[in-house]
Amino acid sequence: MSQENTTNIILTKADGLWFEDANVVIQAGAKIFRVYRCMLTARSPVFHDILAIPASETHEMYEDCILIHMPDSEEDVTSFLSAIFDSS
Amino acid sequence: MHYVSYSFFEASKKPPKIEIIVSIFRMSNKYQVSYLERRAFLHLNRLFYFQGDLHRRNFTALHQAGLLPSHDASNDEMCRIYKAHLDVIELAHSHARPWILPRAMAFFCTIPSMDPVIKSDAWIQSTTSVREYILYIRDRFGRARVGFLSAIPNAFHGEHGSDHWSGQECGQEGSNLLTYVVTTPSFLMEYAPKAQFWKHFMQRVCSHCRHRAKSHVTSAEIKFWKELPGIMGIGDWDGLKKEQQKFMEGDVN
Repeated sequence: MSQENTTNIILTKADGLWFEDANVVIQAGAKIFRVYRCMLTARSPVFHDILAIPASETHEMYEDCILIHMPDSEEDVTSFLSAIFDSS
Repeated sequence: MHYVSYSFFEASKKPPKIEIIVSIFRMSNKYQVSYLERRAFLHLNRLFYFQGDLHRRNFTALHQAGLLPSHDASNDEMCRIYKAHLDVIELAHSHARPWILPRAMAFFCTIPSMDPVIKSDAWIQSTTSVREYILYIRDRFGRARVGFLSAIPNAFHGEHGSDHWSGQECGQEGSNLLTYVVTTPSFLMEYAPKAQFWKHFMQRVCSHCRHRAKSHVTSAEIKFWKELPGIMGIGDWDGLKKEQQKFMEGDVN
């Protein structure tokens, strides 16, 4: 698990939820997740609306991906994204 | 376009940890991922719905899910268990899923003291409405069970078995039994030292009294469990079962 030092906190890439070819980065606490925009928007109308805004206008970027800050806990986001992206 | 509905995939027979279920439920509700929300509730159903077998009067599924504390549970473990139950009660309330409540509430109603719960972080972090509801129902539960159990006829007078020492000793032990049953909330739970109690304590009364006592206590317990949803203010078992079935069959969102 690699670490990136951005802004004020050390961010940790989430094990199993960091897909190199994905195009959205989600931050919850000190953890970041790189996931697929199309799957997220297909599953969640809320994310669909958030990501409907053109990237260049308001979104922060991280490694050329849209960065979304989530106010939820790392644990909640990990469970939630695991349920969406790891259905094995 | 849906080639295969999510319902095609069978849920695991062993539910995930309760924290994960609650977490996914909370997040899927917030971000409107309806199929995950539904799946989370299906898991909660397995963990918390009382199957309606009143004669069993126990919460076996809780043992299987690791939701009851072991005798040497650490503070962290206890806090985890409190939080799981508090979260489930909150979800059942806020999303009108009352059939989940009896089992979750029975946990708080039958633990000997609320002091460790009230001192825990989990309690402090829970909502005021859930805290008030639990304390109110615990009080009602306590009054109701004392009412039911103290109505047990005195089984220790009258005819005694050939193995009794004296009517007086039998009667004394019998009175001890009733006192124990009425004053020990956890006696109604299977994880309570019930089996041990019957094995050791009841050896001290004659066979006649033993049989009569067990029969009376069992009758009182059955009656009590039958009334349990009413005591909690959520109708009756049949009504809860119908609501649960509607949910399971997809008639309720």
